[in-house]
Amino acid sequence: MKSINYLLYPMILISILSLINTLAYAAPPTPVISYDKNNDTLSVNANNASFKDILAHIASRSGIEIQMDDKAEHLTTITLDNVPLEKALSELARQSNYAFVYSEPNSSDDNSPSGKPMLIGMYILPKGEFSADMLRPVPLLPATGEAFIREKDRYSTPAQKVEIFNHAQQRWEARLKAMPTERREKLLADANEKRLQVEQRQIEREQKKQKHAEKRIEREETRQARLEELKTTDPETYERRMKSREEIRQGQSHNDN
Amino acid sequence: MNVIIKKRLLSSLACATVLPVALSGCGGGGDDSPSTTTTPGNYTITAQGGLGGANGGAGGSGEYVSLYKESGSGDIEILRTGKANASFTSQTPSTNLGDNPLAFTVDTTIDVVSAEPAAGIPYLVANSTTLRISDGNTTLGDEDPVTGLSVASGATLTLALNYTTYSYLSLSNDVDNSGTITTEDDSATARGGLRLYPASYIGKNGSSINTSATLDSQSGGFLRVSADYSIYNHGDISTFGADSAAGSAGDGGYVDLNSNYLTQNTGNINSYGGNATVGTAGDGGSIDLEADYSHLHNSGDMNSSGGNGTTGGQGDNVYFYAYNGNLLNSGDINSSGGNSSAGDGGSAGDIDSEVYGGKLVNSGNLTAMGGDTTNSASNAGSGNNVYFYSEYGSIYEYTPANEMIISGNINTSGGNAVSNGTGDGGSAGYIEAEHYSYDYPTEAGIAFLGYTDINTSGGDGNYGGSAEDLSLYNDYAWSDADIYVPSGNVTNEANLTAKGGNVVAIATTTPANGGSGGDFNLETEYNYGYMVPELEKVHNTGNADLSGGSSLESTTSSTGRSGYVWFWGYNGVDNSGIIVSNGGDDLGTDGGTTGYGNYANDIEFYAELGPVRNSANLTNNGGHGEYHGGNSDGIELYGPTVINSGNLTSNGGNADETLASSTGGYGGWIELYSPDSLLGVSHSGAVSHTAGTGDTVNNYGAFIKGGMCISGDC
Repeated sequence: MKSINYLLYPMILISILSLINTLAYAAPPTPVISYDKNNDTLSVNANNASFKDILAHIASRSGIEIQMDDKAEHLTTITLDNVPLEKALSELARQSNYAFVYSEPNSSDDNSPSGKPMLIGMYILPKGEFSADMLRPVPLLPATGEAFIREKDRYSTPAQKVEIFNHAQQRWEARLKAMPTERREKLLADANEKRLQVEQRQIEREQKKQKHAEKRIEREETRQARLEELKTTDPETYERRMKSREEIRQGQSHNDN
Repeated sequence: MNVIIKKRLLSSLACATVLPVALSGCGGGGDDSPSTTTTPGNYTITAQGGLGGANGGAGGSGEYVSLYKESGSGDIEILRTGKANASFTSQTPSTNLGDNPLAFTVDTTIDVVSAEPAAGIPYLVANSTTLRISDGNTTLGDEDPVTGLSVASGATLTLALNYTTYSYLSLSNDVDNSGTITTEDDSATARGGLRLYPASYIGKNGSSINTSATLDSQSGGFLRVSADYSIYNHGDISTFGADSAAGSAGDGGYVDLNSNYLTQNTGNINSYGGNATVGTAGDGGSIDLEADYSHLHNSGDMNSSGGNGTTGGQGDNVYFYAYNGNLLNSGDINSSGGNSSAGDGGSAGDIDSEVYGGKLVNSGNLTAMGGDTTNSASNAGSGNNVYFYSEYGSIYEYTPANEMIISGNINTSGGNAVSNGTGDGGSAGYIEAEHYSYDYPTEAGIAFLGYTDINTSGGDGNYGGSAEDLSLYNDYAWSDADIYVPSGNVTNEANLTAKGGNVVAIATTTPANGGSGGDFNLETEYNYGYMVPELEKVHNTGNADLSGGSSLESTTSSTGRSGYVWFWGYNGVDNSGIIVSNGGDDLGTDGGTTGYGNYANDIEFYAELGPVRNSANLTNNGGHGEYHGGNSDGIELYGPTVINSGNLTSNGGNADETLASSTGGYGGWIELYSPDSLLGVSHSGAVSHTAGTGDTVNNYGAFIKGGMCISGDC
């Protein structure tokens, strides 16, 4: 059971960090927001907080891609406690026009664990507006940093970690698929460049390790050659040497006073 | 695959497998003193390229400093305070000379004979390692072998050469030396070597073994003391080559002290090459100290450097090895190349320390520098490498790798060429520490203590030499039970200078490029940090300057680029060191289409699960150039929370705006990003991402906070 406690560490840490972070912004009242990656649920406690800031936090944490018309910005007061993400977003956006975007259902490469379509995006417009011309991503920019973390994990994630971060990772995959090609490729190229730099350093380290290992092997061979030469040129001394080695190995050290 | 879930659970392994050998393994053997003290240090690590000539010579390349560990939850640290304590208890044990000992109390020469000498005279015969005392009959070799020998203080024992070029004695018991042991000449050009194979060798204070050259130009003879049990040497050992007034100087002979058990040396060892007034200098001889199943202790100074001459002599390697024991060194080691007056400077030998299943503690100064040249047409010598290695040991049981603690000045710089000549500066040697546990993880780490400054810069010259990297990487480990162990923290407190070499103002050949800056990488591993949140953090308090070298009328913006900064702490990054990573300027003013400022490589701090904190100014400006300003790549801080109070500057380099078609450099992208978006980012420093001036200005820079565009061209 100890392992379960430790598996919870990252989530506890994340929650604590969110709390610390929240407390650090004392004025105006900062919303307390936490997203549970295991259960895909959201808790929000906001009092006259920026609607856009809340959405930015949720988008970054959950991996959902939110696009919003800035005219939909307003101050929000709301309390949600472990509400499923989709329902929570509906509550939050009740003063706006909005639409959800889902991953393609039942496709062969569908990432949804249940096989059902996965919520991967949301459009938000002011009430009464229907034009998507002014929609802009919230946050504005998909971070290369997030892409790096997600892509890093795609290549080398311990199985246990996959379980912990399941929803966010899967939503990331789905978001990638849903992105315009140019944007996805740019993001992945930036993230992969960083990942390849890390890998390149790893390759260089391996090369150094190999070079050093070869040198150590050479030295060991030199030691062995020294003994072999002794065996050939001076068998009596060699026998004595081997005997003392064995004595030492057996813990019967001699003359070590 | 199992995943380890208990923090630092592996300490119980560390000393659980006590060796059957007395005094070996975890401590004991007279070196159980603490490995560190709290004394503030002022040590430096220098791996700088040498100065190249301004008349077409290139500055030497700097070399990297790398600390790498894949052995468990121990930290990697370079700290400004503390000092390694490599002291040990000097031992002079009583001796056992056996049942047929031989004592020398006055100067004595033992000859190689073909006919029985008078009774009572000790003798050697050709191609036999046995020393005997004549019984006066006519039959050679029918006496019992001498079992052990002693040389009294003030007495010299001279051995004739019973093998072609050396003397060779094998004794079933000990050698007890309070005087001097030496050999006869092999020839006028070479001193005889010496092989001594006793049970143990005890060289007392004031004793010596001396096979060094005595005639002009003569080379020293080699020395091998190979003990069945232990070596305790407290006297000086000399195998150096002689100077030469009229020709080439002599080489030093190699020194090899190896034992099956403890090797302890407190005497000075000199195997350097001779100096030559009008000829080629002598090369140094290598020095090996090895202990097979116990500790290796050294506090003596060693010199295996090349001599000075018209061509500099080569330094030779110094090698320390301990298996299933501790390796402690407090002696100063010098394996540098010699200086030259009419040819190339000598290259240095490397200095390697390897330990298996014990501590590795060094407090001595380690110098492996290339030789200078004073001839304007010659190249300087290269420095060589300093290498520390630690892993587990085993006889019947395994002993995990133990701590590695290093202090003392380390200098592997290349030599300097003549400043206004045509020669190249010498390249530096690398400095590397590796710590492996393989299947037996440990909490032991790597600590470099008392270091204030590290310099891996390239040398200046007509062409600038490139700088190299400072890399600290703490990797995960695994056990034979297929358990994965996260790494420890990574900390650097030393200032880093890894600047590309400059093209000197008096350079005669253009276009000429400055050298690139070195990278600065502080990394924990990338996969298992989530298991233990308090591990795998990166701390840096050292200031760093990774700027590219200046160019002259260059036509490219990449050769004098700055170094790349990558701090990755799985559970957090904390930086308070001022970091400057500017592209090199171009100093040309020809009014044409040459003169490219160089680009500034990124500064990036990343953490996956912990906060990224920065309180220092970070500067990442493109270099200025008459025709083309260098771009700034930018500054990126990414973490679950990002807290920045430093000024962030990422300006493009300026070009001459009055020059037609000149182009200013891009300002960089400054990004502070948290998955919590704006709520996860705290920022109070000044920000600048100004594009460089020019006939054309590229307004590309931007400041993005929490994914939101704060300023610039997002």
